[in-house]
Amino acid sequence: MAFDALQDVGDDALMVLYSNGDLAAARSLAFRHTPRLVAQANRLLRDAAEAEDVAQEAMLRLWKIAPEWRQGEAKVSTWLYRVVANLCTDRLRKRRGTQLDSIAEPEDDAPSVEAAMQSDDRTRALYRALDELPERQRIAVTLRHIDELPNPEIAEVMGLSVEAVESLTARGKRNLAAILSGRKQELGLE
Amino acid sequence: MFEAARDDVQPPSDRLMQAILRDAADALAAPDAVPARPAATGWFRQALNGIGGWQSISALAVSACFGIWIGYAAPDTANLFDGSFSLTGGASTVDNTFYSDIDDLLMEG
Repeated sequence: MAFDALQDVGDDALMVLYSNGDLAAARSLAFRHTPRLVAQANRLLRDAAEAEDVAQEAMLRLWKIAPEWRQGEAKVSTWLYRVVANLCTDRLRKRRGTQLDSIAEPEDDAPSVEAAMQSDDRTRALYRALDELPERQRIAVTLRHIDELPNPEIAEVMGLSVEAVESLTARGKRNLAAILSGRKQELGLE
Repeated sequence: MFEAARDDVQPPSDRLMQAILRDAADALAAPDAVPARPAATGWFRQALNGIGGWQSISALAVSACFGIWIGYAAPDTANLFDGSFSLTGGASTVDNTFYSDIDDLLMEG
């Protein structure tokens, strides 16, 4: 089946086609989801190469689970977000352990807030503020406010109740505001 | 700021997309493959197969144990026909046989 012909086919149907040997379906799934996965991983890890590794690993897990995929039980996109969130959490924990042992503070090498302001890069400042949040708050805030997922989907991704997600995102946003409030002037937000 | 972050999306590299599609083809080619343990095809497996596998090893082990036991017991004589042998230790001599039923049959005959 041609790739273009699959543009309007749903993810569940593509999973069935792929598990029946249709590589065009795999191609369609890959092009549909990989950009979001890379972006999600990059937001959490702030490392383009690692983000691509995570995206590849997540897609590999999707290929492997395809024959057992149960239609209508979970959305492919939600399942992938969940895998990426878990993989990123693992890597962040490992990275934190390594940094404690041997690596100098990453802040030293990162551009200062002033440099970010000079290059008018508020996004970078936001990412640096997000880095200061606890892991789960960072994931919840990123999924809610950057990826714009609804709370029930975030709850599914993070394995939490919707109420817990609401609380997590509210606390995350409050903490983010507190971190950024000291830098508002530097960022030209006042 | 969130809006700016939302727009800050780098497209995945061609290398990544190729790797993902290669993974998809590989996963289709070996759907039930368990990649964890490759089959043992090294020198040990080859040598084992060369002498007849684990059955030969077990037969060899039994023979070796029997040989060691015979050496330890040190019988004076061994009858190859009925498997009997006699042990001499100090002042006493003990006759042993593996096949007492055969021995009885021979006596009756």
